[in-house]
Amino acid sequence: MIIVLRGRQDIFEIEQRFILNIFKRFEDYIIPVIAELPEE
Amino acid sequence: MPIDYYKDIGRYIKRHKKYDILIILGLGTLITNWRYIYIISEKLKEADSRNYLFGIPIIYIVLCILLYTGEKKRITPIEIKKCYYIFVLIIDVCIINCVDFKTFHVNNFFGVPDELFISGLISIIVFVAALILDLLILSGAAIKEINFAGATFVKEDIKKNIEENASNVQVLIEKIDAEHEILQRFEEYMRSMQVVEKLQNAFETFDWGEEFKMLAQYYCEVQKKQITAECIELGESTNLRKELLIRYDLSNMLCERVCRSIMGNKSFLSQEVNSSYLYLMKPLTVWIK
Repeated sequence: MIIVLRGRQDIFEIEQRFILNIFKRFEDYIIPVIAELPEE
Repeated sequence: MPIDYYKDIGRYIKRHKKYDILIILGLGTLITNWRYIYIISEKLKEADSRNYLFGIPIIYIVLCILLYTGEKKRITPIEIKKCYYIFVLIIDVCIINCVDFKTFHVNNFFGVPDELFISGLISIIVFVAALILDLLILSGAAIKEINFAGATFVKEDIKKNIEENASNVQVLIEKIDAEHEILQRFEEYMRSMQVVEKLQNAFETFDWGEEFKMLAQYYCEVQKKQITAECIELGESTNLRKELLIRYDLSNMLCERVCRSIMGNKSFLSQEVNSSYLYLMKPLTVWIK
């Protein structure tokens, strides 16, 4: 998967860290949910 | 004595084919001192004027410049400076040799002959002026800021740089604010997007790409900037190069670069395309293939 952001020209290198932080937060949120899912 | 010196210099140049700055400066020094040598020789030996010797070092210097610059295809700033100071030396010696010392009345506090004192004074003035011109014009590019009488003059490019940095800091603050807001409202966002419900009800068909895209879009929207987030799924049948070519009209070289980055497991690649900015990112996560 590739996320593509388009538009602004003042995207910094640091942007990627911010977005990854948020994605990491997303993962941390869903990991316990997935772990509790019933096995099929 | 001076003639022997010039002959030695001539032989050195002929033998080594080197036109080093030291030779040039040596000659230049000799020229500037020529008036003193002439005066001293006149005083000591009461010899006749030897003004014809004055031309010899100039010929050498012109020869040096021609040969030196002739060898080099590309003239560097250092060479320009060398030529500049040689020119200054010639101007200096011309002034010294053209000045009628009898018309000057100076307070000679060193106790040396008036001619020597005035010659020295002229040389100092000429070189200080040359140095100032050098600093202001030849080396002017290196001066970023000038302070004069309490006022500061900053060069235009530095001013632009400062403004750009200030703007960048402002954008950075906005990003930090956005991240802070997202982290504060993260659970609220996850509830509103019903992520848990989607996972529980339909894990197999859970659209990871869409969720990450929405999250990235949310982050961009919090910053109140016009950014669109898109997602390219990299399935087994996906031809990434073709996908990038169709969607974003990227060049072949850039497509190749993106593919290499992905293969090398590098997460990020940012590129300006058609006056817009593309920011490609591969989230590294164990849950996403």
